[in-house]
Amino acid sequence: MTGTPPPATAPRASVIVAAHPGTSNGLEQCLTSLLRQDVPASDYEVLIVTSPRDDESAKLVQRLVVDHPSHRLRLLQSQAESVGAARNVALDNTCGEHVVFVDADDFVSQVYLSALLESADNLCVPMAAIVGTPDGEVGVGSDGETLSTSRTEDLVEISDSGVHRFTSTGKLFPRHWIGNVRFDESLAHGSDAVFNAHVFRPFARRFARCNAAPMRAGARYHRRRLERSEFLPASDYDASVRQRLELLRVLTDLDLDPRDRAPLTDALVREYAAEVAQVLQERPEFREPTEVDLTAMSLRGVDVATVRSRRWPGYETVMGRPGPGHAGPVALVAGTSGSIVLHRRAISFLADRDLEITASFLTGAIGNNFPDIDWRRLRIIHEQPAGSPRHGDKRPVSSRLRRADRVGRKVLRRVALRLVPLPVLARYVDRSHGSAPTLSESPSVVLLDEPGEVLAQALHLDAHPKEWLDAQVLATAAVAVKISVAEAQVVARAAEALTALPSDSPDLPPPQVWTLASLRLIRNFRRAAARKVLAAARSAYPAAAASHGWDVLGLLADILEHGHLPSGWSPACREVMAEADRLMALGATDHSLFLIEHTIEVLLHPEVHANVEDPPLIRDPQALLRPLSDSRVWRDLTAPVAPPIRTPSGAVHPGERKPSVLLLPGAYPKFSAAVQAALEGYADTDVLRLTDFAPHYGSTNPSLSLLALRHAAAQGEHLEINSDIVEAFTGRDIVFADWADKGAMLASMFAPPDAKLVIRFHGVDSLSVWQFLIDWSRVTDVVFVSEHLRRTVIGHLGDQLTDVRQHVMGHALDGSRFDRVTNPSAPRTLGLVGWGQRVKDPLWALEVLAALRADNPDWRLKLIGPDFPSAPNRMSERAYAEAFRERALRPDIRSAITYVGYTRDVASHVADVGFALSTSLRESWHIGVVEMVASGAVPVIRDWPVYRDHGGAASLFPEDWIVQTPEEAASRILAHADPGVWRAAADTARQYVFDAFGSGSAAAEYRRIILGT
Amino acid sequence: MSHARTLVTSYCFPPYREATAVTAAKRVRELAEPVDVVCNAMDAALSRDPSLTSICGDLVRRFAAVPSPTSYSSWPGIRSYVEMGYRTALRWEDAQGPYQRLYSRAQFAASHFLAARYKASHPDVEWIAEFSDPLSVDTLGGLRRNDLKEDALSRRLRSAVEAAGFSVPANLNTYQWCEAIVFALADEIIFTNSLQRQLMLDACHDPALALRAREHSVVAPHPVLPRSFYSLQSCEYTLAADRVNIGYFGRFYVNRGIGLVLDALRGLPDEVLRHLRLHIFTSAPDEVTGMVAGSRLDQAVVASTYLNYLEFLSLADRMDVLLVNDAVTSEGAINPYLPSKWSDYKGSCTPVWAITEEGSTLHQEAGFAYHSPIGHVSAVQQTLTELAAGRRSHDAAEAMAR
Repeated sequence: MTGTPPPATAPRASVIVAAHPGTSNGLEQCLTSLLRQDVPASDYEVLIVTSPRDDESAKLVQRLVVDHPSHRLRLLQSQAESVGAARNVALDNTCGEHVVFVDADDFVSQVYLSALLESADNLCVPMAAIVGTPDGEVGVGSDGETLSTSRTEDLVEISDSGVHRFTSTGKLFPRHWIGNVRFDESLAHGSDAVFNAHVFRPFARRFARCNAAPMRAGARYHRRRLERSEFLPASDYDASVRQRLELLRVLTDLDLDPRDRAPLTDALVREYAAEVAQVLQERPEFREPTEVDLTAMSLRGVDVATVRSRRWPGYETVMGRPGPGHAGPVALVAGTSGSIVLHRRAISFLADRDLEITASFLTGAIGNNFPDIDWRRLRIIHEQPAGSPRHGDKRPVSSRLRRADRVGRKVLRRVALRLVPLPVLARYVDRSHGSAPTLSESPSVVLLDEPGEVLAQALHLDAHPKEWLDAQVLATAAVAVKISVAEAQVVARAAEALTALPSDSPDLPPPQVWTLASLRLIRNFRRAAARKVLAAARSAYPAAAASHGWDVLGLLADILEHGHLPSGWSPACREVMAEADRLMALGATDHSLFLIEHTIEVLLHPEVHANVEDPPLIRDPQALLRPLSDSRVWRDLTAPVAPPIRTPSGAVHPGERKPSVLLLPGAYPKFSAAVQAALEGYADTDVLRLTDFAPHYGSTNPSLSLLALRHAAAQGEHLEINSDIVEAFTGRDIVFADWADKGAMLASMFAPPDAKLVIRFHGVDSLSVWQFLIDWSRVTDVVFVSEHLRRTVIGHLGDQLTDVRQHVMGHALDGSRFDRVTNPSAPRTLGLVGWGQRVKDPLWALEVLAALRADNPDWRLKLIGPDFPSAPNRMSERAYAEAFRERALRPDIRSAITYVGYTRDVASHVADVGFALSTSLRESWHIGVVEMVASGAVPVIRDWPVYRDHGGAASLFPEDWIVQTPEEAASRILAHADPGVWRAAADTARQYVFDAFGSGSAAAEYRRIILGT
Repeated sequence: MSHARTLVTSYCFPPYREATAVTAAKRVRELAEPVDVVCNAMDAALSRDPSLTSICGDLVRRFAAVPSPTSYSSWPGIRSYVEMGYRTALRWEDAQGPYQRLYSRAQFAASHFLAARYKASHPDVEWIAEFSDPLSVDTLGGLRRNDLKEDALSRRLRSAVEAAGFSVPANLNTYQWCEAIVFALADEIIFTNSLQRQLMLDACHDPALALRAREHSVVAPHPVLPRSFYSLQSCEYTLAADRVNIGYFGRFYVNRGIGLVLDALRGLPDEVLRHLRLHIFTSAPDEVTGMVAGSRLDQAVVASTYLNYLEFLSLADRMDVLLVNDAVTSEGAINPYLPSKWSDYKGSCTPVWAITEEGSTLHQEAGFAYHSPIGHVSAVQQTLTELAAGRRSHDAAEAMAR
């Protein structure tokens, strides 16, 4: 070692310069820049490491030592010639509190060290701007225009620090962070990245941040080598692929499990892997050797095979099958930042869904509230790069730019666009940038304004028009799960903007993208935006409305808003179903089923049927369903499963062993418990909970995947379904499906041919599509919970039930839970259990209460059970809740209402209820009111309007319990207001429900129906 | 001044602003004897409220906020706290002799690990351990998990539990270990409510250990401070004279917030809203303000940053109504949480409105002026409207009197 001896007191920084043969020219500039730092010479030492055969560099250093006696210059030698080895020698000899690496052919600005040290706090890594300076000269004004200063926040994660991830230069390391970490001398390239990965791997530092404040203070690191030039030439497999794979091997070896990787390691792995993928895309001939190398290296958690291709999402996405991935990194190019800002909402929408976006522009700036994307102001290099051909103009371009600079730097770039011929300008746009891919490397470049187009031409970029961004918005919306109100406006605007494209434009999304986007908007209750997208779709594709169901989607939006079938529903549905038939004939199964699914949704929408007094499905099912029943696809869907699916039964003969029963409890399993208990000891019963397989089994909504399954079964085609579900049916003697729902449909498909299949029908089943899709030819028994429900369903299914044994059996009442009412306030207390839904019509109860309190303020109403849903899916439900609350808060009844909320102990809460109300629009049985009566309350049953024409409440309860209006209800209550009268009526009613619904004989009845015993 | 014979290890302790720190200080006050306190330096996570020291200030003889990395449950963090805390305790012990009693409180499991480490080496010390909430069950009823490492500390604690005739859980879950260690070694185990005890003991891996814990357990709700505390400091906060001022001072959690009341307020007519003002004190008032700015709730909801503790007590006395609400658990699950704020409300002279979940400890408490079921907008609107009507009647009566 020569030069100044190690300092007695530790300097604040040790600057390490690894020289190697051939860098002596650059080395002088490098060391000179270090010797001119504006901090006291005693604050830092410079360690220069040379190789034994690099006499030239050594002599240079020795000369500088003599010329700069006040500086701490130390010359070290490394036997190995790699930069890493040289730095390691220096690291073993440093004594500064911080360490700075500078490459021998690079140089730094005068304030470099002072700015870095100013931000040193041992908590983060101060970093300088890294500036590409291939010719080694700093142009006029360039210090203020470096790319890295685009950061709007000073503190950035190291894993998000752009070029700083890859290099050890340009930053200030606390010495103790480095500890024993050394550069990997075996790596030909990339040892800096690996070094960084090691330094930032320990938990204490893996979330460390880099501080960009020194950039703003003028800290510049001027680099001669082009960014990532170490992997060139791209035509060389070893340089462009193998060396990257080797780096990936080293990086992935740091952590055995990819999930444990530190953020920086992970970012580097992804970056290098993406680079390999990019090379493979451009050079298919490298794929085979890459696979060989990959196999030999067995990299963990590395995807170098992903070649991103763009295609549009299709109807398969609605079936849960994956759509296309993102378009890949997108580079937006514009002349002014204003053109970028104009698209901020679209950019935000896409960036929030993980589309990688960078933005480049010539003039302006982007504020802090812009979406979190990488952006950069393109830099015009004033000096012509070395080796550039001269333009024919007499004056050099750089002098023109300088002249323009005199006019003002703000207009410089605009002027440049006019003054400088494009091919020449292209050479002066600096493409080096740390954090964003260079423009020519971006798979998708989008031009946002005219200057951007000029730039693109100059740079020979294959670019898309700005509508491409709108197309991405629409395509992203087509697969988005959640879309906010503001985002919906973005989607609608994008759709409208796209109509400006010619119909043959490759950037115009195909019709299904518009369909899916509008459907997603409807699912998110963004009806206005959905309508705009549909209108734009019609404009873009005037002839595609029927074949993509746009009218049906429009109907869906209307239903959500108005709660009833809009006029014109029948011809629209017929037209769409005709298209569904046509498409099915053409083999477009997904597309066809998509149309039928949404036609079903329109015709059987809960808003239309579930919460109204007179649902069209109950009133005239044939008229409602005619658009379906006239179609070929619907007939296929409802045809018997043919040939029967062979899942062998147990072939048990009576008496040989207990029958094997499979019980499907449905989405609401409460009622099946009594059945399961009844079979206990009489059968070997297993329970199949379909919601364990997929959440959609928990609803009665149409499901495209189940429609496809049902259609395939009717056609005798291959069925795509979880084999565990099919296996559950195998060998069963009896299958019992509680609820005529999706599970019952599956049971009718998969129950062994000679097995007994029993389905229990509940009220809500009579309003869903699944009753029609069950293969009733396979069903042996159907149980209705009430006679009026049976009559209703007969009206729907007609002669399909002719050969099915029909039973009517209500739910079993467990009377042991209910004591007789003893509370003295009971004779003046009304009760309603499970009231917080529109279908329960609790407003009716409020009117009864109001009528009673008009004469006697002692009357009270107890509402037991949860409130209305906090975020109801349906507008009508929300509107009803608001209407209820408005009425409930009026002074005449407000203080007379007691809310109990969700309870596990209904029995104790009904113990002080004297009058049991049933106010629902429809009930197939109404366990809540029966339990109150069992507790000793006098029943007051509204004649449920939905089932009135099919016998309704009178099919379950004595006529004198039933009333038509709130006034009648009040009259009945007042007629029983006398305690003696009330008690006698309550006792009689109590006896009735125990006799009619008591659980004593229910178990035997379940066994008789299901087991036949 | 006499030396403390009781060592307190509470990972969080005044001056750090956190509910568990307040309760720990109240317990010290309840003990009414000098203590030495080891806590963690929580500056990274919590702000300081010097006024909290007044709760037990004169009883604290020695105080150390050890600079272990602030962490809810990471084993290195716990181990670091234990090592630093134990060294501190030994240093103090060298100076003044061994402690006779040990009190630890968690919320933060590290408190009990340090106490257990001390108990393992000082079997004669009487260890009183308190659980603020279940450790191994999260707020949504799921298993909370963070594994500890097999190291000298965990081996030592395992041996101590085995020496007591029990075993630690088969897994390495820090939370379950912490509960088991307390159940096996503590001489007295404090639960803040019986449902918390039921849930935690039901979840214990060893019925015999659960039985031992039950036999050594007491249920002790959060202490209520004397009335004098409510006037130690005045609070300049302005209340509306023409509105019902409802104070919400509770912290927001995943399963406990003010969203229900805001939803209910949104649905009220203007003539009701104009008689109400909800005052929310939170760490992020801007978020609440942002939610209501420009809406009809603009005048009905005011959000402010946390007050210091004594200011809060003073203002609690001046409010018209104090609002406390239960954490929401999944349907059918045991609700083991008792809001500590209820104890401060109980000591005030202001009517309390409780929004509770059926079966919870808070639900079973008496003394609420108003009571609504949780998750129930209709019921909350009813209460709000009644409050506004009361204000109207009051105003009308005053007008008549004039």
